[in-house]
Amino acid sequence: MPFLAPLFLLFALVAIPILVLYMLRLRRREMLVSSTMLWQRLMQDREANTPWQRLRRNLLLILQLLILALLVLALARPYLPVRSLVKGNVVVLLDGSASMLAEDVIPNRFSLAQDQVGRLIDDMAGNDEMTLILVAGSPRVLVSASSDKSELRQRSQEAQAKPQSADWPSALALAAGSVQGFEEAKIVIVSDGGLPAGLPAAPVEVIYIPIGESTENLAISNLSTRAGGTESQLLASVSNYGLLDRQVLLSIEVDNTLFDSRLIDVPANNTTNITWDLPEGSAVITARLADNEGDHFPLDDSAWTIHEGGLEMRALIVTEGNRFLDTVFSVLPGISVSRINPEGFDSEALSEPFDLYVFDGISVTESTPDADMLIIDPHPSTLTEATESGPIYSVTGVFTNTQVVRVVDSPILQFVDWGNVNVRQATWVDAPWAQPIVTAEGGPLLLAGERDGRRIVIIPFRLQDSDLPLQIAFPVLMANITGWLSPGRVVTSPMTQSTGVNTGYAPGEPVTLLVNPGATDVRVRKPDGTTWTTEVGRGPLSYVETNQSGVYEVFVQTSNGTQLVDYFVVGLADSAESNIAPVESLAIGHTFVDTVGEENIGQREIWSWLAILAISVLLIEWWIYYRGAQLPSLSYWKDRLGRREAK
Amino acid sequence: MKGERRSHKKGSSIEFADYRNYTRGDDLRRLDWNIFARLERPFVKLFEEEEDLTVQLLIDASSSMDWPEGKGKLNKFQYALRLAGALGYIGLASGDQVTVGLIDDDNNRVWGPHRGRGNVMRMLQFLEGSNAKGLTELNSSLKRWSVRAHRPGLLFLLSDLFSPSGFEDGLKALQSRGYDVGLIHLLSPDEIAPTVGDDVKLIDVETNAKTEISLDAATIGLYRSRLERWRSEIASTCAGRGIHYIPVSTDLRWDKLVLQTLRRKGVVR
Repeated sequence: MPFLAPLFLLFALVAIPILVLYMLRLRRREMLVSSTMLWQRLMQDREANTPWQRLRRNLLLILQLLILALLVLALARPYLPVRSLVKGNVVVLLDGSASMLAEDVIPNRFSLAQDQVGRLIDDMAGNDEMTLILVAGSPRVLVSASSDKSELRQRSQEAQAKPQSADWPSALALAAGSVQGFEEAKIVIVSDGGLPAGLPAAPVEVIYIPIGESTENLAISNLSTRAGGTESQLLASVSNYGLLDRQVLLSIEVDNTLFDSRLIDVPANNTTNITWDLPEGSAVITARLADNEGDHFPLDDSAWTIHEGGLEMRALIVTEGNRFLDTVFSVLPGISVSRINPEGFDSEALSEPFDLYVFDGISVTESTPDADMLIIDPHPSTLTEATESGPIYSVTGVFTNTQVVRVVDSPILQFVDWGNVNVRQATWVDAPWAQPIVTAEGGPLLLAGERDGRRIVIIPFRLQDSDLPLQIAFPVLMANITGWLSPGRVVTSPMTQSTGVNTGYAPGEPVTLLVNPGATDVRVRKPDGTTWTTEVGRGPLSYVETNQSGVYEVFVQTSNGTQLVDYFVVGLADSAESNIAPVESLAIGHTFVDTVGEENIGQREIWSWLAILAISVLLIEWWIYYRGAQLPSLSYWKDRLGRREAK
Repeated sequence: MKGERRSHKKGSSIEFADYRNYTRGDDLRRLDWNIFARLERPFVKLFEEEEDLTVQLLIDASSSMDWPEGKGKLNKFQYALRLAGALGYIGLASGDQVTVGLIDDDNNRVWGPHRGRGNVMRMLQFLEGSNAKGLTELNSSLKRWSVRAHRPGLLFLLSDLFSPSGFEDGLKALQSRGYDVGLIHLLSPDEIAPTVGDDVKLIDVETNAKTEISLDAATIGLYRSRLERWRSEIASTCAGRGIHYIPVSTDLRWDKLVLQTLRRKGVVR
C-alpha cells in the first residue's frame, strides 16, 4: 500500500513504551490460598480447551497495539490506486444554469452534479490540481488551481445553481485561460448539455459528464404583446420539449385579474401559439401553466410581460396643421399622438387625460389643461387670462433681432447645435416663472419652466418662420423636450433586435433605471414583496438584484410623494434552458465530446476509514477492560444460549 | 463382646432380618419349624448381629486445613476437631472403641483405642492440643494407616482433600482392609465461592506453589463449575465404592451437621 506521508510511520515506535508499560503493569499482587490445586486444574482445562488462551490473556495489549498501528497507518495517509476520470491539472466547469434546477433526479440535477464533482475531488492524486468554475449567467471561479481537497469539496458544496442562462463561451474562454501553461491538463464539463453551437475549440482535451435523465418539460416559451391595428394583441407560446403529447391549462392574468384560462394541447416536441385581443390599458400580463404534472422543470411554467401600449405617453397636438410637428411626433418612440383642430379643442377634449398638450399657434378660450404643455408660437389673444393664479405668459410684441447671444446648459439642449438656427421673427414673451434657455438680442427664443406642478416649454416663433425644422437639431430638440416634459419610462425594456418584441430581462441581468432629476429616491419592489431602495445620484442607476422571476415595480420618490412609475419583468425565456433533455455529446469547436471512460489512475485516500476502525477497536478495548480483561469463553456463551432457549 | 451398634452383618441378636434356605451344617436351633410344618421345606431364620464397633476418626492435619487464616474465624481444622469430638463422644457413649488419629506426614499423633464414657475428657484434651502443619500426601498416609489397623470398623476421614496426588488409592487401601469408610469433605466458604478481584499471583500455603490468574467474574464462574465437577466426581467415586460422602461447608454449624445432616445420612443414629 503506497503512502502519501510515509514519515509518519516512525510513530510506530510508540509501541515500545506501550510494551514496556504493559510489562511493568504485569507485576501481580500475591495472594495466599489454602490450595492452588483447583486453580491449576482450571488453568490446565482452559489451556487444553483453547490453544490461544495465552493470547487472550494479552488481549488488551494486542488491541492497544492494533489501535496504534491503525492510527499510525492513518497518519501516513495510505491510498488506494483507483481508476479515475482525470489526472494532473483539471478545470471543472460546473453547470449552474437554470436547467440544472430540473427535478428529474432527486433532489435535483445540480446536487447530482455536485456529487459528481465530489467524486472527481475524491479521486484526485496528491499532486493533482483542480480549478472549479461555476457556469451561470456569468462564470465564476470558485477555487483556482488547488490541491486542497477539503477546500474544493466545501466550495463545490456551497455553490448554488441560479435561474439564469449559462454563458458557455465565457466559461470556456475562462477554462482555456486556466489550463494555459500546464502540460497534463483537462477540462471537465459537468452539465446537462444545452451548450450553444459554434463554441470555439478548446486547447486541451475536454471530458463531458452528463447529468439528468428526463426530457419532459412544458414551458411558456414566449409571452409578448404587439400593437396590431386598433387593438393590442397578446401572443403566448407553450412549448413541449418532451416526448409525450401533453394537455395543460394555460391561464392569463391581466393586471392581477384572471383574463382567460384555456386547456390547450401541446404535441410532443412542438409549440402551440395562442393570441388574444388585449383590453385597453392593459399593463402587466401574467401567464401560468396549471395542472402541469410530470413536468420536471417548474421555473419556466410562469411568464410575465409588460404591455408597452398601456404605458405609452399620450400626446394631443392642437394645431391648424403642421407638417413638421406631425412628422417629428410620428417618429418619436413611446408616444401615441392624437391631433385636433383648435375648433374641436373644448372641455370635452380636456376631460380626456393626455400626458402632453402641444399648442401650435392657436387661440384657445377655455381653461388650460392640468398637464405638461409645449406651446409653439403663442398667440397674443389666447391663454393669457386663463389661469386663476395669473397669466401663464403675456405677449408684449414681436422682435426680429434674433441673433443668439446666450445659451443655457440644459437637458433640453443636449446634443442640439443651436448655432446654425436662423429665425426670421419671434414673439416677445414675458413669463417670469420660466427660464430663458436660448436668448437672442431681441428676446428669448426658448423658455422652459415649472408652474403649478406642471412643466411648460415655450417656443416663441412659428416653425415656418425659421430653418429649425430643416436642421438635424429639430428632432433631437423635440425628443429632449418631450423627454423633459414627460419623463416617460424609467426602465428601457430589452427588445430582441429582429422582431422588436419585448422579451423582458433574464434573471441576473442588470437593469438600468433612468430616473428624472426631480426624484430623490428610487424603490424597487421585487416579486416576493421585498423592496430595494436607493438614493438618486448623478447618472443612470443600475439594479442588479434580478434573481427572482416575476414583475418588479419601480417607485419614484419626489417632492410630491411616491408614485409607481414603471414595471419591468424578469423571466426565464431561454429555450436552451427550457430544453432540459440531457445531451449525449457536446460539440466544441469541430469535435464532439463524448463521455469518457475512467482511464487514468487516481488516488483514493483511506485514512478516514482507518481512523474509524481505530475508534471502533478502542471501544472494543474499553468494553473488554470493563468486562474484566478477558472475553467470555465459548462455554459461557453456550451456557447463556442454553438458558435462553430453556426460558 | 457385643456392642450396642447394629451391624450390617447377620448374627445372633433378637432382631429378625431375613430367611434363607437351610444348608447342611446350619444350627438347627434357628430352623423355623412353623414354616417347615406349613411348607415342608426347611428355612433358617436370620438375625441382625449386634457388634462391638471400632470407630476411627481420621483428621487431615495438613496446612491447607488451617484455613481460612486469621483469628476469630473457625477454620477447617478447628471445625474438623469439633466434629471429631462430637462423633468420638457419640462413639464412646455408645460403648464403641474409639480411635482418633491426625493424618500428616508421619501419622504419629494418635489417641486410643479407648472405650467407655470416662475417656471423653481425655479425648477432648487430645483434640485440643492438636494443630495442623506441613504437607500431607493423603494416599500414602491413608495406606500407612490401613496397614497398622488391627480391627477394621467404621472410619471417618475429615479432610479438604486438597492433596495433589489424590486420595482414592488411600481410600481403596482402607476399604480393602475391611473398613466401612465415611468421607466428610470440608471446604471453607471462600474456597467454594472466591471473591472477584484483579490479576493476582496465588500462593498455596501448603505446597508454596504459585499460580498467576486474573480473578474476573468469568474465571470465578469457571472455578465454581470446576469445583462442582470435582465434588461430583468424588461423590460418584464414593457412591461406586460404598463410601458415605458428605460435602460440608464450614459455615454450616457443626452441631447442626452432627444432629441433622449426619443423622439423615444414617451415619449417626
